[in-house]
Amino acid sequence: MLSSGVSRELTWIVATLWGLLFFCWLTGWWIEGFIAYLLIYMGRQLWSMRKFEKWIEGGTTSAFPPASGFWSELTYLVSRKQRALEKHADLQLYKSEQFKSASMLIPDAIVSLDHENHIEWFNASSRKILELRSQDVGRKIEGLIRQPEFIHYLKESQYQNVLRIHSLQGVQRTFSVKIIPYFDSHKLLIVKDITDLYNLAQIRRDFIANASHELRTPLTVLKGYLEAMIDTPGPHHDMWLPALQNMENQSDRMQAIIEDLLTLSKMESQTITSKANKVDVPRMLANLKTEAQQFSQGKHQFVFEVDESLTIQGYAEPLKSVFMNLVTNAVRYTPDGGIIKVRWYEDTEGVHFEVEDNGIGISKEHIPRLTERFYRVDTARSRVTGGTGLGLAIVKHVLERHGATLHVDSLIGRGSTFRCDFPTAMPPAQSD
Amino acid sequence: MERTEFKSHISEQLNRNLEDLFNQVLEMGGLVERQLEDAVKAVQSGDVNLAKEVLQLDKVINKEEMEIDRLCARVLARQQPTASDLRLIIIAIRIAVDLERMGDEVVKAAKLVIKMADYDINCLDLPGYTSLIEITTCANTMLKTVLNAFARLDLSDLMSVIEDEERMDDSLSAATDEVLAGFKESHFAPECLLEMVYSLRASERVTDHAANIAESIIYLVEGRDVRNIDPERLSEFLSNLD
Repeated sequence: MLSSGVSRELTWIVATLWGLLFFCWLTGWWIEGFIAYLLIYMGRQLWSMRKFEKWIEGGTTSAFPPASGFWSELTYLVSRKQRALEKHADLQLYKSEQFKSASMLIPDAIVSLDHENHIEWFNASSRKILELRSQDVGRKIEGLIRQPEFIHYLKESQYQNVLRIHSLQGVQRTFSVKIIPYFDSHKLLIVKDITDLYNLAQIRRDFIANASHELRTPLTVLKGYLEAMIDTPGPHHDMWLPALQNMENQSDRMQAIIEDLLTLSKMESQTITSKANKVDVPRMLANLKTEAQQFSQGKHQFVFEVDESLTIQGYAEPLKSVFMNLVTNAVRYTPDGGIIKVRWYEDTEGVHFEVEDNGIGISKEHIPRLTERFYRVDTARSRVTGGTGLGLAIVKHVLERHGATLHVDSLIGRGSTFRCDFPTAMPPAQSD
Repeated sequence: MERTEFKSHISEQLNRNLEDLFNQVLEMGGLVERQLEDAVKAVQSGDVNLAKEVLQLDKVINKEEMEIDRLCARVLARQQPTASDLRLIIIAIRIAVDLERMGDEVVKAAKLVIKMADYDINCLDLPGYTSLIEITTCANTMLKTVLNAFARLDLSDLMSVIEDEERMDDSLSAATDEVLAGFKESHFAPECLLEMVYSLRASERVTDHAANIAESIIYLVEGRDVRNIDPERLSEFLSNLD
């Protein structure tokens, strides 16, 4: 099939040829007539080309150039394509405007930086939080946000961490600063005002620390009198002894909870500013073994596999409470006669402390929540075994302090494995 | 001077050196800002540790000054720039000196906290305390304004710096009178009051240096030395710029 442009042209040629033949037949000027026809045809083509070119360049205001034949078809096709493109561009513009206005409304300051930290664009909140102005586009961010911590963070290029700063552009509020690399070595700087959240967390921490501290003294008094009452012989003794003993047990439990809460809040407020020391774990574990055997009262079998030469850098007291917590947990949740295996070893990935038991096990859905405070897999059972519900929370905090992680494997009815993975090199103590 | 990006030279090296210099000055300014902020906080809360941090920070600032001098010398020796580039180098040296002096003065102001801790006196009770806070806070704002003006090469905010500097002179003389009255009437040891006078003077000097930096920036942008112009003519000059 012929395309419509070519067929239009052919129609024109055939129609004019008929005219030419009639003219030549009348006059008899055959050769001259054909030459004149060819010249006219060529002239027409050239003229149309010129018109088309002018139209494409935008020189004329008319929608179509006054052309005929092939050229009119061509202009029609071109203008159709152009309209489609314009429509597409409009749609794109609309979409990008929509996206832009959405990003403008986000309450956090968002600034896009190019690979040399020049500002590309920023949203409306940045004007308020970072005090940027519209003429700042194209300037370097370091010049406008000069906080030494921020510049350090920007240069360090470890953007998986979040920077927390307590003053920005002279405003004494707490901000969290995060840089996310995106799109071809560009960076997105996100600054969020977290003052309220930060204060709230601070108040909560202070409250727990204060409350547990204040509860300690009255509890000591109660315990003292209870002991005295149990030890004093008399007629009341037979009747009240079970009740008194129960009270003493419960007050012991309460004291344990308070002690654990205090330990936790100490961990959180990070008052341990002392340097990490070499910790002689093998010796610690030797002591732990006797303590664990006392705790289990000979009902469990202990297997200790300890690498005697392996020590790490860390904090001795907190680490001891970690090991103790894990071992006592194993004793609590393993039926009498069970085997508890404690291992301390090193491999290519780092140093590990592992406690394995063949106790009741934990079902999968509980494992991620184990380190939450007062989280109980089975509330009724836990009361009987006498834990405080804070042991694993403490473990988690201490391990975080050491740059280590807790790994839990468990099968219901088969037993559980709690493993602490220490990195080989101790990270520098976090300062906040 | 219409230039925010250092891309105007054919020599890549010169562009990079000038940009490094520009950023180094701003980084040093950021350190002094932090130091001043900490000093205000230390005086307000009587935190001796924070005051000692201010002293530590001064050492870093001194090192920065040397670094800026080194960068300036390198550009001068290798590329011999002219016009606005030369002005940038001249004022970089000048601003670095001003910032370093500011750091020293802030240290003097912060020493008040350490001394008062020895005497077991709360800074809040001393005469002239409110003025000290006023002057240091104002100095901080001024420093922020001039550094922003430098980063943006924009003179529109510098008027306020010149005005604040005048105002702080008056604040200082009022505060000195107050402390002087304290010598006669209050029960504080003269050493403490003297220390207060030193701190007040030091913080007022900080504002003077901030004003100096403002003048340097006017020189960089407009190419005109405005150091010995009286304030009225200077503000007239600034308002007629655009």
